Order: sequence, then structure tokens, then C-alpha cells
Amino acid sequence: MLEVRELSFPERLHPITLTCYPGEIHAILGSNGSGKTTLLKALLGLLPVPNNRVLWRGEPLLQKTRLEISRIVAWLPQQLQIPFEYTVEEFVGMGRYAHGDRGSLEPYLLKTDLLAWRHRLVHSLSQGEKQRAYFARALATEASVLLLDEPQAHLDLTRQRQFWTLLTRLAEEGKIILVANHDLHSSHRYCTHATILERGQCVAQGPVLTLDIPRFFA
Amino acid sequence: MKMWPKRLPLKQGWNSALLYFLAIAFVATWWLFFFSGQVTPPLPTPPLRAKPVLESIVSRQELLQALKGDFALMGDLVLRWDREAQHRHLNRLPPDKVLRAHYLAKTISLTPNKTALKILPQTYLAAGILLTIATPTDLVALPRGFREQTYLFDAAVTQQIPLDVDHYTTEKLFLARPQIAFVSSHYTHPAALQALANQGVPIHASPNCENVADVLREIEIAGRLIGREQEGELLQLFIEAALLKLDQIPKETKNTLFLSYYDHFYLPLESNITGALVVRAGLPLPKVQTFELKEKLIQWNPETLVIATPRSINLLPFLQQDPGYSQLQAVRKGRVRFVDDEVMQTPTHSLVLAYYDLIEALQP
Amino acid sequence: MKLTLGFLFLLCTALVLATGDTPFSQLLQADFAEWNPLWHERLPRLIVLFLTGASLAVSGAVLQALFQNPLASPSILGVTCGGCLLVLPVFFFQWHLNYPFALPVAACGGSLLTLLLVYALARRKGRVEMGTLILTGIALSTFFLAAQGALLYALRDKWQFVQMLTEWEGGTSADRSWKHVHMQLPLTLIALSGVLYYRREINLLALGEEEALSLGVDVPTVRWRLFLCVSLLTGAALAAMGVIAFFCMLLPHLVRLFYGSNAEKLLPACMAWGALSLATVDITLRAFDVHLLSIGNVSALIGGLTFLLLLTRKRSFSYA
Repeated sequence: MLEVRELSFPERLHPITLTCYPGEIHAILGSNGSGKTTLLKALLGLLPVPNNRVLWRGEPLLQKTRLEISRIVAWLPQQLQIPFEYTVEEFVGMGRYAHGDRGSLEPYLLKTDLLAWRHRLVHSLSQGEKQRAYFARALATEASVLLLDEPQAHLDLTRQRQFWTLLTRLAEEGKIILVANHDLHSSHRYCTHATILERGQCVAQGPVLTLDIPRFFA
Repeated sequence: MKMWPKRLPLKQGWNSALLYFLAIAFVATWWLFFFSGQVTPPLPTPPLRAKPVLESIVSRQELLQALKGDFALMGDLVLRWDREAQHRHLNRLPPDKVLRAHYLAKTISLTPNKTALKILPQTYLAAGILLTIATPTDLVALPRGFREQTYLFDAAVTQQIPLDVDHYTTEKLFLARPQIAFVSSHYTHPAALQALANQGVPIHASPNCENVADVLREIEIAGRLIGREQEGELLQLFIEAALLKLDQIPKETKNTLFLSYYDHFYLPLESNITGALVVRAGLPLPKVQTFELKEKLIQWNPETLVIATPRSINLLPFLQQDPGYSQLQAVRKGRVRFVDDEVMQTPTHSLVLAYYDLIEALQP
Repeated sequence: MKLTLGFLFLLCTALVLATGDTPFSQLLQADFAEWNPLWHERLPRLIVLFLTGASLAVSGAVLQALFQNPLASPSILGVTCGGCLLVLPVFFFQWHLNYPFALPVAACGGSLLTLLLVYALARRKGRVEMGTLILTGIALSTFFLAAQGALLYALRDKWQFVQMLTEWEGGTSADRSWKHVHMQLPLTLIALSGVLYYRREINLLALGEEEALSLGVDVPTVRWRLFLCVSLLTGAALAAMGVIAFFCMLLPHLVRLFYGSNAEKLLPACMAWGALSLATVDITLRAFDVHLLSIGNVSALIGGLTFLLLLTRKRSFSYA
């Protein structure tokens, strides 16, 4: 169980409280600049926030070592920039760092349909393929919580459907998934819960079915 | 798949401190082990030879005195050396020159103070010559750094000249209204030259002096330009006589090598006065550029070494403890002589002193 | 490739050990108790060349990863300048004669202090951003160069000192002895071990600090230790051979073109090719008896030209 208690960040995020249970796909909705990325980064401890605002199974998450945190939470960033040339295999293998082993990367490459391209350089892939590589890396960490920042921005419709199917399956396996998104339709269709942010403030929260999401984006 | 060794996250604090401590200890132990018992550094010690050998033949003090502008003494010394050479049937300065020197010495002492030109020497060569043949107060300034070279002219003399030649004193120098400037055609700053030309100051530019003849020529020109022809001529004659006298002193040059030392060894170049003096003394001047001088030295294996060091510091203990240099015959037999580098590098008429030191070092 | 490398190493070793004024046959006959150029001078020079080449190439590669910039190098952070500045008084007061280890201590100390200064100045609200770091490094190296220039101007009358410093700053492999090896070796061993220990982390750090953090790297600690290693590498190389420019930037860049960016392959390759390149430059200079230029000058010239060449090739800069 992931608990967020009064998590805030000066000038970008007002105090937000949130609870997620295994199996939930939680959408973080809002327009650009509403604080979605800030919330995700703060959850991960990438921004300086007090240690006790995020709890994992009752214990403060951010007091753990980075290694322990990365085994619990995985992050797919919004900006995909790689200044150096790594192969897909090397790149996905980086997700195994927290576990200290190389592991077998086939399952993750299979799930993201990258097996045929394992030896290609990541920077030579299209944006959509890069996103899948990042996702495969996030999967490789075997983390219980996935934080995804605009994960479907570069995917075409078919891929999007495959992506959401995969996410649903992962949720069924017991993972907690937080997706920062600005696509209302997919959020409405696939996510179980939603938090709507506006200028850093939480304006609505709760199960998707109980929220009238389009109203907030009229 | 290879198993990456599972690394436990190091606890901050103690584990880190231990790691750094171990690393420092490793390096410290290594250095302590390999650098203990290292070669002692060259310490400034007094010259090896306690009692100068040449003093009985030629007095360095007298040479110094004469070179500073004692024209009467110059005349006396020229005469004295001529008599000694005559007595021993050695080469002498041509009699007309000896007479000329004697005549000049007498005339200069009798002539009252001549009208003095205001002079601006920008080079050490000019400053040295002019301090000798003119009156110190004729000079409006001295080249920067000249005052520190006290082996010839000490503070008592240089203090009489308040200014230093520098970029910053251009206006002060202008106000002093020099009537002639002595510069170098090689290294005087072009902007400074232009400034002097703009101020309408006549300039004499001297090239680099590569041998004794060049220095003598410059003395002659300087004397002529400032109206002290007689002083200039006497100084030239004196230098010729002194060098000739020193030439005649028997010396040991067999298998002897001359080197300079500043942080490491250098071979002398033939295109400067030091090189000219070395050749005149009968020492070899190897025309070789090498990457590894140490290896070359060991190959040549000279019997005697003459080394020009700063303040004549004694390098012998250093050489004796070095695994390479200790092999040299010269070091094994202790036949290493040291001369003052500052005097040896002299660009002025004090090359007489440099030659004196060199001959002194070559005494058996 | 490994066979080729091995062969090239052997060739370099043979060439360095065999060139010199004393004929080789004489060397083998000589008694070891005496001074033998092979043991006392050529072998130390070989070791110093290999170590310096490896150190500089690796430190460049590490910094390029840490800054996510393929053109970063210790000189950008001002590390080399800081080291040089602290070495000046050592040479002037001649402390290196009394205490031979004064030179590497000063060089590494200067590099480290610069690093601390850059780090402290570039921290904003508890975080170091790489953009700020680079700018601070450039500002500091400008300042240090100015300070060094001022000191040299003040001391310009001491022409012998200035000449000696010029020779040292040009980088030199002449008259190297075991003293230089001992100055450099322990520091380089520690630093290279450190860098190789963290090679997986270096890969992750190359993606950016945030991503590295999210993947589990203790970024502050690892970064600090890598900075320490880089200071040790550049300081030790400075003490052993003087200033060799452009090597630390260009060589990893070239090696990356052939080996890829994965630090697990890149770092050992940088070590090997760095060592070989520097030794080759030295052998070439000696073979052609070039006395006008020092090894540092030549590496800077070659580095500069190669850099310009790379700029014209689009492929090198087609990163994401």
C-alpha cells in the first residue's frame, strides 16, 4: 500500500494526500504545468521533501536507501534524452542494477515487443520505440509501484491499446500504477482511480467512475 | 548469465571513513617506503675550494675593482701583466697597446669632469658598460632586475640611480629627458622603441652578443656615443689584457665537461658568451641535442666536471647518491667544481670575471 | 581485437625500451648494480607513459558520463588548472627536492580543492545541476589561469624558473625515473580501481542524475567518489609528466566511436588505447628527434586537429 500524506513542494504543489492499493491504476490528470511531474518526482524522492510524507506499507519510503527505493518504485520519465549510444539490451539491463544481477531480460523485451531489436542502439529508435525501451527498463526493475509520466505520448493507437492491456495485466498481478496523463479517454477507460490537479492543487480525487472527469477539462 | 556480485550498500559514516583511511594509508605507506632514504637535495653550501688558487697570480678583487671603473688600476694591471709576461717569455699584448693603455689611464685621471650626457640603458650589456665608463649619475634608469645582480655593481652604486626601466615608468623616463638610449635590436619591446622614437631620443640598438669581440665592439660604440672614447678604449684594452693573462694560466682541461644546472642539467650553447668562454678555455662544446642527457653523460664519462649552479651550490653529495651520476669518473674521484651561474650567464663586460671563475675551476 | 591490442602493447614496450643512445647489446651486458638506462630510465618512462595515457583517457570518459556531455574533460572543471596553480609554489620554493612526494600531493591537492570549490559553488538548494557545474568550472579555470599568469608575470625576471615551468607545462617524458613512477602509481591504482568498481554506476549516471537516482544509484556518494578518482588520476598524471592537453577529452570520444558508450567496455578500452596512444606519440617524437615541440604540445596539436575533423563529421554528433 502506498500512502501519500500532505506531500507538497514550494510553489509547484499544494499538499496532496493519496492512497493506492495493489491492483489500482491511478491516473494523475491535469493540464501542462499542473504539477503532475512534480508529484511523481516528489514521490520518488527526486525533489527535496520531508521524509515522512510518503509511506510504503506503513514505513516511510524516502528514509530507505536509494537501492531499496528503486526496488519498490520504478519511474518512466517524460523527457527521453540519451546523450550516449547504448544498445536496447544494455539499456534495459540497467533496470536490473537495483537487484545487482544481470537477470534474463527476455521477458521484459517480449512484453514490450523489443526482442528483435535488442542489439540496436536506443538513440536510433523512433520516439515510440524509445518509450517502449524505457518501459521495458521499468519492468526490469520488478518494482511494485510504477510511476509513468505521459507514457503514451508517442504511441500510435494500436500500441496504445497494447500498452494499456499490459498495464491492466500488471495491475492484476498486484502492482500499483500511477500514470500522469492528459488523455481523458484512456484514463476514463482503463484507470481505476484518478486525481485531478490544477495549478498544483488537487481539485478532485477518487474512483474514476465517481468522478465526472470531462467537467474539469471543459 | 554471469551473476554480478551482490554489493551491499555501504553504510555511510564508518564504512566510508574506513575506506578513505585505507586508501590514504596505502598511499602513505607506499611513499614512505619508496621515498625514505632518498637522495638529499642540493643544499646551498659554500664552494668546495676553500682557498682560491688563482689569487696569487691574478687577484679577483682587483679585477672586480678595475671593472667597476677604476681606470688607474686598469692601467696598472695592464702594465704589471705585461712585465710578468715579458719576464716569463709568454705571449704579451702588443707593446703599442700596452703603452696606449698606460697613456689613457694617465689622461683619464688628469682630465676634469667632462660634460655628461643623460643616458638610458635598456639592456644589461649597456647598463654594465655605461656604469663603468660613465658616471653612475649620468644614467637616468637601470633595466629592471639589474640591481639584483650585485656580483659586479652593488647597492652603493645602483642606489644613485632611482628609476627602473619598465612599462610603467615611461612618463618618468621621458621627464628625465635622456639624450641617448641603448636598446636591444632583438628583445626590446617594439612599443617602447616607438615611444622613444616619438620622444625624439636617439637610439643605439645592439644585437645579441655572441662572443667577446661583440662585447668589445659594443664598448667601443658606447664610448664613442657618449663622448667617453678614452674610457671605452681603455676598458677594451683591459679586457683583452685580462683575458690574455688568464689564457696563459696553466689549466687541466683533459676530458673535462662544462654544464649548467637549474633543476636539471643543461649543455651550454655556442651562440652566447658563456659558450664562447667555454671554448676559449679549451673545453668541448658538444653540438648535440639529446632527450636523455643523463645517458649521454654516462656515455661520455668525463674525468672532471665544471658545473654552473645558482650561488655555486655544491651538488656533489647529490651526484654521489644518484645511481646514474655516481658512476661518472668525475663524481667517483670527487673532481667536480662549481661556479656561480649568475656570473657565468653574464652578458656584460664582467665576462672577465666569468672567465676567471672558469679558469679557477679548471685548476688541478 | 584483444590480440591486436596485445601485439601493439608488446610493440610499444619493445620500441620504448630499445630506443636510446646506448646500444642494446651493451645494456644487456651491463652490471645491474650500476646505473642501467634500461632499468633506471626507459622502463620507468614506459610505465609513466602507459599510466598517464590510461589515467587521462579514463578521467575524460568518466567526466563525460557524469556530465552527460561527450565533450567534457577535467580541464573544463578547472581541475588541471587548480593542480598547476598549487604546483607553482612547490617548484618555486623547491620543496620537491626535499620531499619528492610534495609534487603529487600538491597536484592532487590542487585538483581536489578545485573540485570541492566547484562543487560548493554549484550547489543550489542542496542539489548540483550539471549545467551550473560546468559554468562554475569554466569560471574557476579562467580565474586560476589568470592567477597563474599573474604569478608568472611577477616572476618574469627569474627566467630560469619561467623556462623550467614552461618545459613542465609543455609536458615531458624526458629523464623520467622510478621516482616519477612511485609518485604516480599508488594514486593511479586506487583511482583506476575505484572507477572500474563503479563502472555500472557510471553507465547509469550517464543517463542523468534523476534517472540514476530512480534506478537505485546513491548518486551523491558515487559522484563524489568518482570526482575524487578523477582528481587523483589527473593530479598524479600532472605530477609525473606535466600537462598533456586534449588527451582526456578527445581519446574517450574516439574510443567511444568504436566501442560504444557502455562503460564496462569503454573504460578498459580507454585505458588500453590511452596508454598506447601516448606511448606512440612519444616514440614518434624520439624517432624523428623532435626537440622543438614537447609531447604535450604535440598531443594538443593533434587533439585540436582531430577535434576540428570530428566537428565536420555529422555522425559523431547525431545523438538523440
